Amino acid sequence: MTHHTHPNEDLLRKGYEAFQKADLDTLRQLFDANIVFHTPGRSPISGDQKGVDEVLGFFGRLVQETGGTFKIEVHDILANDEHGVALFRATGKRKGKTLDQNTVNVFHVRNGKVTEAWGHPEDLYAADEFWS
Amino acid sequence: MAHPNEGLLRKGYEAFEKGDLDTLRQQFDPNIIWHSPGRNPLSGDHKGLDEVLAFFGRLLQETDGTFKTEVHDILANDEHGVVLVRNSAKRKGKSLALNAVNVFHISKGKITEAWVHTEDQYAVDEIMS
Repeated sequence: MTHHTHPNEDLLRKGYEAFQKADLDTLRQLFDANIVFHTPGRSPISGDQKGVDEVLGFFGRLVQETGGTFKIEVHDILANDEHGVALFRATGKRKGKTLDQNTVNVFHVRNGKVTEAWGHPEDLYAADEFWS
Repeated sequence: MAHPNEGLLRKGYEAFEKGDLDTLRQQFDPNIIWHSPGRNPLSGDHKGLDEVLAFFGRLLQETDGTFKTEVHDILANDEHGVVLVRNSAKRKGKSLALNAVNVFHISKGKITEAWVHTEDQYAVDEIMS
């Protein structure tokens, strides 16, 4: 079977692998310098992270806040010339609470770089409770 | 070339806009499950073709026919379809417009399951409650 994946699908797959390995160098290469990462909701981690340093700092915070238990398991990745979508399960533990959410991240990809990202957990209320 | 499931979803959204329930009935598996997120009276799992179409009807009724979904992009492969939309509606003097992501399971040319992820569920729940 020949399956030609879109280059932006490969880019996102590489990005999620790098996230899992905490390979910040690869993430820096994949992210546009002016990347904006939108996290929804009303918790301390909600809001817009602007620029590659802020976004990587935000990732670090997710790991720190959960004592290193925050994990992403990719279910599927779809992409075309403009958009990428990652379907994944996010899990973690924090202050006796458990996170277990199917999540959809939507990406804008331009010239081989991720320029913008939007996170969408399946239950925003539960996500906010976990991170608050 | 677009994936056949992309074509299927595009046709489905066109049918929704026209209120063409016959086309939606053809596209939905009889045992379709539609997950509507949040904490408003329309939240929850709508199970089976009739329940899902009734849910669409209620969405339109509750918003006096103002509920609109504008397709921004559609991505699909053999298993999944993802539709990026902008939803807008008015209800009880309030209006709302926001981005949402609908994720679909498609099996043998039929939609079997759908999940909705909105960018601000609090705002949706406020207007729909």
